[in-house]
Amino acid sequence: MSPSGAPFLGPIGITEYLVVSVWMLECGLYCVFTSRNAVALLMGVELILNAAALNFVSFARFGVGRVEGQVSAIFVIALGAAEAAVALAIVLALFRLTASVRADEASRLRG
Amino acid sequence: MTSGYEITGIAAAAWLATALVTMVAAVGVAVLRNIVHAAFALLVVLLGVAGLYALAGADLIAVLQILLYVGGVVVLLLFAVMLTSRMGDPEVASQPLAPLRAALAVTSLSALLAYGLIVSTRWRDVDAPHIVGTTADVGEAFLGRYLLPFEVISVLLLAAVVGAVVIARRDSRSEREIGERRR
Amino acid sequence: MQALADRLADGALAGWPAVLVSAVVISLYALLVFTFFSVTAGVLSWVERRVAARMQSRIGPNRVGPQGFLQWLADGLKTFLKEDLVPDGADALLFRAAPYFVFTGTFLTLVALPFSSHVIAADLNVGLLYVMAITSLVVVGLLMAGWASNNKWSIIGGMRSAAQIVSYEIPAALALLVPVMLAGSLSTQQIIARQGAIDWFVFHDPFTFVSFWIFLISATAEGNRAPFDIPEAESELVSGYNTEYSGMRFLFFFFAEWETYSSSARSPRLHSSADGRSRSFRREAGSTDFSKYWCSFPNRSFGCSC
Repeated sequence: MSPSGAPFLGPIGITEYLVVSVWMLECGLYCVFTSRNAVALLMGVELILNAAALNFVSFARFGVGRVEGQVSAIFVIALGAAEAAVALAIVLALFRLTASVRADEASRLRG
Repeated sequence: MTSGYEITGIAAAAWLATALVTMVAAVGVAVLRNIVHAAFALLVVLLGVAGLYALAGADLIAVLQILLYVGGVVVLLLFAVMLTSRMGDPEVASQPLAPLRAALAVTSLSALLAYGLIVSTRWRDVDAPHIVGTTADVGEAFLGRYLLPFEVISVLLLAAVVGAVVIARRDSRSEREIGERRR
Repeated sequence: MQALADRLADGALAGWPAVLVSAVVISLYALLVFTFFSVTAGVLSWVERRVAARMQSRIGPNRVGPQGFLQWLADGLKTFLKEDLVPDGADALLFRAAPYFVFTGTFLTLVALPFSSHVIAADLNVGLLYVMAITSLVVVGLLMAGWASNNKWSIIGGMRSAAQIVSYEIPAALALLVPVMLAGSLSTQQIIARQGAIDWFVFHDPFTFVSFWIFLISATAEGNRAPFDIPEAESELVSGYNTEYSGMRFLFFFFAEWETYSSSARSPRLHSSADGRSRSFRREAGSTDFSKYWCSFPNRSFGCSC
């Protein structure tokens, strides 16, 4: 894989995958930084998790340890699903307590 | 440079299209202010990532991505949105929090990462075999070398399910107390 | 289909660029399958209306053509000519996009469901898992439709539909894993190849028999048909998620619904290899002959292994 030249021309190698992954990571970070809505926060976290899983899979494709990368990606997907379930349960509980899903308004301890 | 190492030809064109759609939709998740629109942008991102997995030869991961993320996480997200808000609520279209500072932080970090990825790192070409189908390989890895992590993940999933039920359960007693306190 | 394209590119169309040949072959196949399923969906709608009417001591459509057989053509024409309404206050973008999601989700299953040992779009090595996964698009589309309509009945109907499909997906998937275990493969072609003309997996042992029925019940529930019709619940919700839809967009939901039935009818045929049986139960008595034709016709006429 030659890193020289524009990343979106020619054959697709590891760099192109990593560029997409970084892009998703940045979008996820921006989403997490700017969201007031707890559900939108969670979407940002999912984007970041997907970026990480994409990294694993692309290194599995272009590197040597190919099964290991895919196994890790499956772990990431499973963790993402578990995290979404718990986080959304928390969002629902928060909504029942404060009648809002705004993360910046959840400032009370012990509702 | 081994043949079949990089993605070329029609697959490369498909890769480019998928990657572009994914990246545009990822921006949509970050900047769309309507939460439901953002959720559907996330759906597009997840499908696009599944496509990228498939083009990387990881078809099992691609299918699992669709099964778990599209069928599970996005549906959960939509349910959460629909249970907690109505169309036209301020929560549905909320103002971003400090967008300039966040954009600055994100841009500088991405510049750093792009420098690291594209300019300073020389990725070496390893002579990797071309992958055809890896479902059996991944399955064997799960029941062999990665048996313990696999089992730990299953325990974690169980804990997550139980935890989610406990948290989201309508506790009538405490709710009544809160209602009385509010009054 | 790629195999056929390769053969054509090597043989008869040797001078043509391979990419072009495969693109044309795949497009033609997609068009054929699409047309076949669209027409089948129309005919099946007539069958359901007649059979359900007979069971409920009604007559049903019997005016257009012999026994009202052409009713579906008339209805199709009518929906084409109807105005495409988007209600005031609806989320227009999502409202317009939702039927396509539902439609795409169901029709993409046809990629991995074979018509014969040769006629299949792509024999994926994760075929069965793919079929289960890609139908999740339907759930998202239904939620989208319910939400975008900005109507309480629609959103309740959409959430009921989604909840029901998500719930019954789990027993359906677990039941499908039994034939996967027996065949040792997720590929739909491999699973069929492991079964003979008579020795279907459904009669392999009691467990496969039970799993077949579990799958059948779950598939009925996923299709929102009686007795699993709470998402439509005409007496409380007007007609569920599609209340606000008219014209072609309304029809798209029904195309998708019929397609769901046919693909879930084809699935047990693959996994438990039960031929038209599932269909006839889903459509209730009377349509047995038709469903036999439906599920076995592609295989018989295209000269297949079973």
